[in-house]
Amino acid sequence: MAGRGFNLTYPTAAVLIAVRHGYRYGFDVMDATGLPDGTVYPILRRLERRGVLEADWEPDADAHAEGRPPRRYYGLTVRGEAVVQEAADRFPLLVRLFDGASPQGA
Amino acid sequence: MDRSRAPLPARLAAFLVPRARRRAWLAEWAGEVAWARTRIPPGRAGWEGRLRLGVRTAWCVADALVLRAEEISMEGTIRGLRFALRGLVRNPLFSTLSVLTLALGIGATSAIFTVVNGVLLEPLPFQDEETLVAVGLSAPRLGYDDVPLSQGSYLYFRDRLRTLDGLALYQSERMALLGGGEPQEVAAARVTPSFFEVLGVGALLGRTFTVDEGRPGAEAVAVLSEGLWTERFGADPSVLGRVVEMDGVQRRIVGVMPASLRYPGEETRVWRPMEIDEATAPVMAFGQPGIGRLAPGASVADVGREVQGLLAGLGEYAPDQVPPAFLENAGLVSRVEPLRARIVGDISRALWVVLGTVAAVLLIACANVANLFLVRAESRSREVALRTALGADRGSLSRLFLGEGLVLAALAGVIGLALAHVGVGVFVSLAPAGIPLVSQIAVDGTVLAVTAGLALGTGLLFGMIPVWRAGPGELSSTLRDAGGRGRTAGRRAQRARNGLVISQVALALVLLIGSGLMLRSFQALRSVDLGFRAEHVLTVPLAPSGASYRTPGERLALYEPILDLVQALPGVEQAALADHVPLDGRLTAGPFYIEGIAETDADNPPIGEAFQVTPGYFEALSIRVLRGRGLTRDDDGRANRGVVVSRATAETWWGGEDALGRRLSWNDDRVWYTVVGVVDDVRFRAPDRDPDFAVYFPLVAGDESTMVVPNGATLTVRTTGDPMDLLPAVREAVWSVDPNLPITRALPAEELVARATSRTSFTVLLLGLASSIALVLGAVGIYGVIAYVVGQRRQEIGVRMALGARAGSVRRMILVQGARGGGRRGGAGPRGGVGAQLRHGGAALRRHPAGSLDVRGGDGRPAHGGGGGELAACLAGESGGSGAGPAGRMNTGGTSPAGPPSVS
Repeated sequence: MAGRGFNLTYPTAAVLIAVRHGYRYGFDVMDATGLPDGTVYPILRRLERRGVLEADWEPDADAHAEGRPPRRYYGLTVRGEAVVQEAADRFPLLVRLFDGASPQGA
Repeated sequence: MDRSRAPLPARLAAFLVPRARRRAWLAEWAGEVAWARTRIPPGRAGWEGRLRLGVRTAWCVADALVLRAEEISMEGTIRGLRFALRGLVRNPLFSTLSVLTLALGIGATSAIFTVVNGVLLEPLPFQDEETLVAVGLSAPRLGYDDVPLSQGSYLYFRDRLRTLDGLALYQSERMALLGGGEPQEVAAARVTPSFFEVLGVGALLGRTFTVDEGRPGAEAVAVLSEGLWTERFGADPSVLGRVVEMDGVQRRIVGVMPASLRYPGEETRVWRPMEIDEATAPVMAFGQPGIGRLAPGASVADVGREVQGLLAGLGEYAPDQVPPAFLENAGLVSRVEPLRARIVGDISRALWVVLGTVAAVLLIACANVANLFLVRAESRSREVALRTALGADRGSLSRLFLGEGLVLAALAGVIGLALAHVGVGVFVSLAPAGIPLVSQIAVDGTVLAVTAGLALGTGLLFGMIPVWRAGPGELSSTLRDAGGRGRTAGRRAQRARNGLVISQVALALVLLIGSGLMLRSFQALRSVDLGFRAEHVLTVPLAPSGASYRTPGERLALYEPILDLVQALPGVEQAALADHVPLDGRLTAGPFYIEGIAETDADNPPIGEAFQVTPGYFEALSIRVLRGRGLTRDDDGRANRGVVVSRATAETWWGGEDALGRRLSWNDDRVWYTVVGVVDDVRFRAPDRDPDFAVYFPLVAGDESTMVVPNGATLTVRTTGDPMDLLPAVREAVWSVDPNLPITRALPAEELVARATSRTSFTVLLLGLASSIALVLGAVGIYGVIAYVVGQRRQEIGVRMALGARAGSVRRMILVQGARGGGRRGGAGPRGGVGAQLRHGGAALRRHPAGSLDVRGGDGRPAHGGGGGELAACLAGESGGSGAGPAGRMNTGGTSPAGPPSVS
């Protein structure tokens, strides 16, 4: 897509589709996509900067209950919805990979 | 463990994360890792999960790096570059000086590095080149540090050496090529069939030699180089099987070697088999260098030891050929070295010296630019302080200034690379024939990387100077000092600048002295008495092709008419023929037997150089006849056998007694020659080598049955004018006797001398060039710094002139200060400069007896009241000499509460 500002590579598409399927935390995305550990966060950062993803913190209460600090989760923006659709069109097998699977921690 | 705390790798990597995002980043990683920990089963079962989490956590470094790079690339770089470009355009003098200075330094270093890389560092174009060795001998007691192998010793070693996987022998030669065009003389080599196998080079087309082709009686074959195949045969594949006349022998071409094979010589065009008769291979005729391939696990030293051990058995191997005491008397020892060392030879030292020299030039250039940056940093310290006060952190400041340094260095790198490219071209075209591996010299990836590294390093270095100069501690004082324009440098900065100027001038001087010394030794080399006069002498090597000139009589029938014809040419003072001439690189040393003396020591004969010359040779080369006479036609050995010896020979071999009338024989053939004359010593090996013993035999030696006439001979012609003018006539004369005789290497004898000193002259040229650049850079550096400082002091100078200083006295002041190594421009000594005084507020200016302005020091504040700085700025502004505008006045006025100066 012209003006997207980044290349829609396979790893990027995988991260996006994982987020749409409910894998919203960094480590969850790593587990769901199987991408190398060092690649997922840089992709998340880039997508956030480009306005494709937005991030927020999980409620303190949830984390407190488990005795741990809150996690930061990612979600699609309106622009992100369009981009993820493009990703799904380009990598249909990826979508099938995620269909039927559900996130553990979400 | 505190679960809210980020894991250690994240806390370490957090320093990479831009400060604004650091807290959130740490919290995110802490949250993820803490959550992941809750999912790991407790106890031993969880070790795999813990390990996995550890690895995953460590990857936070990548995340941090991306964030850091993002920040730099997003804001820092673009802003920094824009800032840098603006700053550089605003200061064209500074930018041009810096870029050109650095470009010269980087260019010179890259050019010489290119040469060093090509000659010394690049691998040879052979498979596993590090396992290739040059196998030879040396005879220190005879004064020969380099004795090649012989065919006999090759067979002996080949069959015994266990530390080598293969041994080959070669001999460089030149051969006349007929067919497919004009007769052409080409560089060629006779090689054992194992040659290509040892080098690991296969044929591009066809094949190399079979073992049988290395035996006598085999069909005459040859392989061509790709270059010759393309040039002479139009790269026609049907050349295989074609029969071509080479040196009078019809040879069938069986293969074409790839262009990468440039061995034994850069120019070798034809290889032919060396035919070795295993039954009669001479052991004592040492003349063919050997190369070998190390066996797995063997080292060069192992081969050396094995050869040394085997040498003792050489006498036993060929008792009929090797005199029993020869090995011991000659002190024959093995000389095995990596092939690269053999090819590169002693040029490596000269190259490293030249590289060191240009590295010093780069250092000078760096000192130069550092100085400019320092001066500039002084004038920008206020800008730095202001930016700091407005919230810029050190990092962002660094990036701004680094950008400037990098832009300059990048420009310099690009120009430097272009300079290097041109320089390498000039180097290769000027390089003397003796520089090995010239074909490998090219700007390649390694050179690019080194140049880029140099540029990056210098850019980083210089970019950091302004930041380093304006540390945070100086912020308030810098801002308070605000005068800026009227201000001159602080003592620390000045010391640094002076240090840099002094070190670059010192470096330039060292280089100049070094190259001056080199030049002196070169001059000494040029002015050394060679023992002959090369001016007006033409040398024309003749190489009669084998078949028509097999017998001495046939060769004599060629030489005699040619010599007569050339002697009769107008403009010829004296023509002669010799088997070789001084400094032409050919040597024919051999043992001599001296009647009455050496017979008692027949096993250890003296070694000397044997020349075969016609009468007139000494006249042609103006070699002085000291006693007796030169050779005449009567000495040719048919009736009398006359011989002429050199002075050193006469003095050494006959111990100061008169040599005339004594007899000697050559090569133990016990054919006695009588000494008829003694001539001056000639430095025929090299101008810097003491003359060796020389014995001049008649070209035609012996009677009809035993006549010796050399296979090749060099026409040596003394002319009245330019020797090369005579060449067409000489060529005509030669071709009127044999139209197929190639003449391709005719040279004035002066050229032989020039070539013999070419390595030295080339080194001198390079060193001289480097020193000149260093000197220019040193001068430019001093000029640049003084010009810049003077520019910075325009205001002060304006004050001085407004108060009556004459231009001459100001000039004198600048010169004196410059000569003192910068003087004490801003010093706080008893006679400190105007700037320092203005900074302190009250200054007592008074006319110096000598006419120039001086500032009487001390703290004048209470005595003289305020306004000094303002007055100075106003005066300067109004004088029109400073360019200080209203801003300058405001700045100065605002921070100078002191009173007006009093002029006494």
